[in-house]
Amino acid sequence: MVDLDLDPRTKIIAFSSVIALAFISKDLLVIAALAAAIMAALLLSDRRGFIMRGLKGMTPLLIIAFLLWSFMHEWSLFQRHESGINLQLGVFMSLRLFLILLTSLGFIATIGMRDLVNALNSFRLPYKAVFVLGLTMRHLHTIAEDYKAIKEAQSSRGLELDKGSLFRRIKNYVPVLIPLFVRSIENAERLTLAMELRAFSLNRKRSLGRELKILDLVVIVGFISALTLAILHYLFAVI
Amino acid sequence: MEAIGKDGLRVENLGCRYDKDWIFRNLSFEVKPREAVAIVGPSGSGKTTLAYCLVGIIPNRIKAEVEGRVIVDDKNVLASKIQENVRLINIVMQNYEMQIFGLTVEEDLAFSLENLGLDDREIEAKVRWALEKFSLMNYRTYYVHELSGGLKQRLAIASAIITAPKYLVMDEPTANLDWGGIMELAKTINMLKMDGKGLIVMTRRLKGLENSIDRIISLSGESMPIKPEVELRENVPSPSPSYGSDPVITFENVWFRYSKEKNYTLREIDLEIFRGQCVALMGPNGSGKTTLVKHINGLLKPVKGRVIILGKDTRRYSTAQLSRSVGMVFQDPDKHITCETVWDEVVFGARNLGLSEKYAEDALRDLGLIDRKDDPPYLLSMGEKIRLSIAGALAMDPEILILDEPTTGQDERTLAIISSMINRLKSMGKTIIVVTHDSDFALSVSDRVIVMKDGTIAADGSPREILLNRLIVEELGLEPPAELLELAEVVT
Repeated sequence: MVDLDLDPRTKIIAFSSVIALAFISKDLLVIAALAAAIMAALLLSDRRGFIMRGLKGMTPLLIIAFLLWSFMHEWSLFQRHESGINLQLGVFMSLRLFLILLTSLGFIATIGMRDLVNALNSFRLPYKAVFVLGLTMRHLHTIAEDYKAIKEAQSSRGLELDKGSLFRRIKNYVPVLIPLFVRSIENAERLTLAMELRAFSLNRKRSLGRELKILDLVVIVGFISALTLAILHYLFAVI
Repeated sequence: MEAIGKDGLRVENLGCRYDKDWIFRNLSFEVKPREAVAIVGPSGSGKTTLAYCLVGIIPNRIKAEVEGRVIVDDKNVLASKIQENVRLINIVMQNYEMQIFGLTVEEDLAFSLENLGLDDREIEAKVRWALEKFSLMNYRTYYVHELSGGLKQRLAIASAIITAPKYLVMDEPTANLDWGGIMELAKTINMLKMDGKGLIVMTRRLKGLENSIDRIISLSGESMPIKPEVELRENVPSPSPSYGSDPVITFENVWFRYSKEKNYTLREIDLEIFRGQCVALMGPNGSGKTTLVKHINGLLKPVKGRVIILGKDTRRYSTAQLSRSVGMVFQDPDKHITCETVWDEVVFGARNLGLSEKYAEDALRDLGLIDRKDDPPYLLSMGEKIRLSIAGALAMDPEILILDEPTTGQDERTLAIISSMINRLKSMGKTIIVVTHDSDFALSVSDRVIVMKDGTIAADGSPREILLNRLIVEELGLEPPAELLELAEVVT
């Protein structure tokens, strides 16, 4: 997922494969190798600042995971009951968690909203669902702006939002939330009207976007074969 | 009635009502291709209702009693489905943002075409045509939320036109545009006319569009002359400054930016505003007017420099604390209406601050809303809602009152009430700041005009000195006041 201008579909396949691999593999080295490879790829991309900040926030989670798996694993629902400290298990599980978080973070950082919607669409997901997802993303901004404007208007009328006890603060937000809900409902009404004006129908044909490049195919084949091997190994121990 | 044949839009004896009273009745007019017709009337006069009838939203989506016919190319719009009508006549609504569906400009243009089931090559060709036609090529891949209001509107027009309707209805297209935006809109209207489209423009104020509009029709169906547009406002010559010399608002070398990655929105602002002054803050959209006034009540704090309000440094006080001294009335009253009755809404601020409710009653009376005290606020018209939010600010008896675009889409009665209220507040020694694009309103109420451009103060002086100076008005992109336009006519 370096800045290779990969097709969003490729990104989705790669992302799902890595997540699946992370769950299937039982080998510490495999997980470590995957994590290192993805880390390297992400560090080469132009979103490394975003990723480093995300990882920093997740450090406490990883530490807690390590401690829990190392010392408390006998109460685990997922592992065979063994007693005593198992540092190897702790390292493995926290590394697995790290891999999953890192991959998800990388996915979010490198795929645009619009790409995601287009890709899901070209996977022939139900159009209704994809359309609603796209519409939500389009309107998140409107709602966020409304929320900010309402908050400003109410604090200009003497409403203290962030003072007092927790209960008090929650109560303070009522005059912000009421207009926000009312507006959202009104907007939904206007939206259905606007959809009709654009001749909307759910049976519409949508363009499938550009064709896959050779590089996309190489990446897809690579990830799919890795995943296949891992599944074969997991099920039949053939390799 | 003159026969217009197959081509043309014909409204025949149209009437519409939601309950007892007819909004309009026996309305008949025609619009030919290559013609732009304006329907002029105050807010609440039924312009939007008419617009909805013309595209069949009424009675298809919104239930109302309708009589008469709307014929476009031999087809009665009122009796057909909206989806079928949009190929004949489409609409750009006042709230055009809701009409934009794509995440990006290009995607939005393709949306209707995809709905109509065109193939990829055709879609691509039409999108390219629209991008070029509406000068949106440079914004092709922009996310729509990154566009300015004027550009969003142009996109909404382009997306409505891309399905090739013969007629286009625009509801209050100038409401949120600055003067530059109105000039661009006039160009777009001319371009559409050249392309053979017929246009119906609903507006409260024709100013800036006179040269693009061919005819004006009132809601009773009568034709009206385009010029002169009579502005019903008195132009009181600005009185000699009667305000004191102690500044209530002081900006000391204020710089502000929204984030470190962005450029400064305010640069090097030094400003003193005195007690009893009424200042009109003008300038194009995006010049920093709203950012500046948000510093006065502490919604924004300066990045560099300081803002002193009645001796208080805003950095040390919250907005809620400053709201005792600074009342702020926002543009869209629906954004803060929370209470169940008009009265509760008016005293909302006073109760937050623990003040007595005695000013609230006076404020309601002054703004002509005392009879509606017990009504739920959502029953009020837009003009009444604006007055309600002004009353809410006055109920806190602030020293400084800020009005953000109070004139947008207002009828003459509301404007007159706002003007007289401003004059009375001035005589009480209150300080008022009005953010506005409306030069005529600024001339009639203010005694000082400050013009912003690119985050700095570009001009500061008496209203006549600035607004009647053609060079300044043109260079700073302000709306020329009626007086200046009349002068120009005398000269030519």
